[in-house]
Amino acid sequence: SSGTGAGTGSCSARARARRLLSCAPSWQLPRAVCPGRGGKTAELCEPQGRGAGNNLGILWSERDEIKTAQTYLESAEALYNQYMKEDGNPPLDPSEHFMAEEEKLTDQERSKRFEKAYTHTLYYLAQVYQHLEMIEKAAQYCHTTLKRQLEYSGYYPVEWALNAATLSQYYLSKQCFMESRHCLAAANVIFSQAGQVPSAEDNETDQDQQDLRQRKAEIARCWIKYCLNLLQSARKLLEDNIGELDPDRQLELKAQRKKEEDEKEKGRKKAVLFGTSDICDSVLAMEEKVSSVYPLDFQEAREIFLVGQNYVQEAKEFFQVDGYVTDHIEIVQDHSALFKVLAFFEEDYERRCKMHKRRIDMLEPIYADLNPQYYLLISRQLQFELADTYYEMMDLKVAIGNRLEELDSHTIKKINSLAQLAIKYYELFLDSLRNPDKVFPEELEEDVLRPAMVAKFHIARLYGKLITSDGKKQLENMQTSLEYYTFLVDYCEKYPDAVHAVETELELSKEMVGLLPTRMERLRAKLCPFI
Amino acid sequence: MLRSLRPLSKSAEGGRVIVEVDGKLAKVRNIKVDSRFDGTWDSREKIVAFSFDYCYWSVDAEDPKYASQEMVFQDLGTSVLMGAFRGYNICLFAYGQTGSGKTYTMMGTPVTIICAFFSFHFFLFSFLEIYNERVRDLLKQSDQKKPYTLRVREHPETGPYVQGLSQHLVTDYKQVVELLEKGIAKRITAATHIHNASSRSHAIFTIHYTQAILENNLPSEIASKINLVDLAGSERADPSYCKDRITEGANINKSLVTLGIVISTLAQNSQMFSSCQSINTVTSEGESSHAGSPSTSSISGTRRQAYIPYRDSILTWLLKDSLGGNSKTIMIATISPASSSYHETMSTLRYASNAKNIINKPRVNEDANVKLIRELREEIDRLKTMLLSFELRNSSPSWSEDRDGNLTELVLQNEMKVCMIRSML
Repeated sequence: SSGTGAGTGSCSARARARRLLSCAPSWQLPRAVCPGRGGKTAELCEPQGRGAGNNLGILWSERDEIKTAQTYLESAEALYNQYMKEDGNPPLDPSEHFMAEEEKLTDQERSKRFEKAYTHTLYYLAQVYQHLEMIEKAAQYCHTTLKRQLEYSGYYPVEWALNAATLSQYYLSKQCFMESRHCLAAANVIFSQAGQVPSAEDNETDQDQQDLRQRKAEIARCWIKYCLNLLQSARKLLEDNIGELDPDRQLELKAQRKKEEDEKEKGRKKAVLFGTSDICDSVLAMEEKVSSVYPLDFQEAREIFLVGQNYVQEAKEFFQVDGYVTDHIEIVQDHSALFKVLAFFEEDYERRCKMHKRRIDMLEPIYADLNPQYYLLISRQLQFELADTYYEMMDLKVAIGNRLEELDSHTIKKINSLAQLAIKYYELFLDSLRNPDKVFPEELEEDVLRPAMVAKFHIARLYGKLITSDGKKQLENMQTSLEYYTFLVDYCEKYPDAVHAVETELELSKEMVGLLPTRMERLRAKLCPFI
Repeated sequence: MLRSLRPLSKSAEGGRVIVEVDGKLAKVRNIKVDSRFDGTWDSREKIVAFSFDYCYWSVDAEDPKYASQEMVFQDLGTSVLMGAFRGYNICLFAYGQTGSGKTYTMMGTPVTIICAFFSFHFFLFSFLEIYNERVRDLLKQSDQKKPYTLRVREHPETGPYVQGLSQHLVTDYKQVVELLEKGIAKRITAATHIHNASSRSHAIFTIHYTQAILENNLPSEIASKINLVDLAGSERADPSYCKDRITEGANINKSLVTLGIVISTLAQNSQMFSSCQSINTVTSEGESSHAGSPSTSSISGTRRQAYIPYRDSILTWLLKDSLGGNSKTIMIATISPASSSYHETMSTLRYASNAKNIINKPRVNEDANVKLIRELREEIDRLKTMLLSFELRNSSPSWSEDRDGNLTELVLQNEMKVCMIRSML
């Protein structure tokens, strides 16, 4: 577990420890502050104090004695808190005893160093908690570190903004949208500082300009995920057991929302506020542009969708297809997902269909230009998404058709053509599994097993949904459908290990393999007199 | 695969050997425990084992387990060759602490490979170096003031490439060696505390390999790419070393360098965990997921919940397609057997065993699938009922099975009526 974490811990921690030992101050706390808590406290207070707490913490962590590191660092943290409560003046750096009067630090400087050292304590604790897999605590300490960077330490605006934007993604995984939005809003505000301040160190080169534009686009992508997650989470709350919006749930949640609004929000907000006075208002203004509560109807969903869409455009400005193929496509996939989730909120089937059409229009051209030799994974993802989307559109057309008195040939043509397109893309996916000699593998590899089986399964179903008045054609379709269901059954018989990947699909395929021949017989019997 | 290579150097002599190869396992003894209880083995003695596809021990030529260059080539080279021959892209990574012998393994092997094939095959070579997230061409004289100017891009048709990288046509083995030596000489080297001739940069040696073949009696070609990647010594490969301006002394207190890494890791890990969980809620058991296990949750394949901004990833970006898809990727991790390198060894092993788990899989959209399954169940029930009742009724032409049965029935009935009318005329 935490392979990357350990890597960071062992390699860089040792070097960091060496550097800190050479230049970090060790603070001498006046004895008066240390209560008589026995050996351990005395150890820390004399002669060193919190700075040493940090140093010892680092050394122990790189020897994998994480628990010990935790103890030292937490003691340092407790000491700081206690000290600030009881005394308020920053402690003397022991080296100051040896300085001439003019060289001594001002109170302000001393205080600044002290605070900075404490920030480091929190930062090391964040890493320790991460090693111990106390994820929430680690995140909390990262957040506080960021906060303190704004208030006490120096910071590089671009880096800070990027860190805040990344932290927002952590909050997304916890469904903490208020915190996530706050991080993103702050990221926007702080990032804009980067453009303004001409720093003496930075030599503005082309590369630097490029980097700046890239970082901006990356923050935009974090925002896209925010909007997407918010919409998708709302969907999960609102959908009934057939995947449609449940009006009762909707009413329920709306009522609930009215009650809960203020209390909890304020409490949580206070805990995470990036509160320096100069940025506070700007962050608030940024936050007001997008909601952080679940959208419960189409209007609310649309507003969030539009924010997401704007960020899509912003991100695409940098991540253009020529140069950044993978990134560009991921952004387009997100755009497609935004439409997909918005469609859930849309009641009218025709309008829904149009939204899915937008998805096709944005994905198909990109797919066509892609060389699968270099982009195999994305190519396959797009094939599947296009197939699923065409299927979705076909379903909608059928539902629309069912409501009509009469079904005109135009609608039937449309339904069939959508079904055929879905089949086409599932087939393309299956083709992508062939080896360089164009032979379909006898045995499918683990990572493509389920998608391949599901593709076959969907094709089988699609052939069963094609509409034709020609009995002969209908028989052909049923025959093809049967062949695909049979493939699943036969494959699982030959490779029983595959069953776990497609249990339900297999069960249904077996049923269809049992039922279809009979049905086909009936149809044949019926057709004979009419030839 | 794993290879433990370098004989204990003078300075390491006197240290103990803590690495052992046992079949496909590499075992590392935790020296902390060992040193505390010298002589007697404590019951808490920690031996950590890592499993690999291949493990080689090449420390002492006299050792019965010794694996020679030829042996490594046999196992490795054959699979590389076969893959390229059939049109797959190959990527060979060599990773390990400076001083553990990876440059030797890496460069030796491909040279042996290539000399085997020279007729009806075309080879284009290029050699680049990545240093501090900038790229430069090792086979071309560059502007001294701005040596690192090459941009890495992706083209939809031709894939990831380095703009302006020179490619050299090679027709014999001698030329290959010349190119290699020229490039290696140009690499930046810096002294590390272990091995003086090590490098702080990554290097990628690319062979574009084209075979002229006849397909259906028409001339055609199979093209594949072999990438040989020499990863910088592990302690320098740590991303926290990336930026020039934030390395020494006072600066490190101004900017909490690795805070970004910590936060990224947080975001990544929690995302993996929750995406594993969401797959479990689906009706059909697609993949059994072990929460947090990287091998079952493929980050690249799943619809990602979050976007983690890049942290210095030119290398992975350039070789993205090699880490999955239709590439065969081989990771050679070399480690030193001495106890003084315990931490580096552990780090290498963890990295290598994580690398094994980098699999990209296409994922099924389970939402859409669930809906389809539900509908099909309904149809099956209808079918069963219908066929049963059909046997009872026996003559009705209405076989409305589908969910859209109304439509089919309507259409069919209309058509049959037309036929009947026609036949009567």
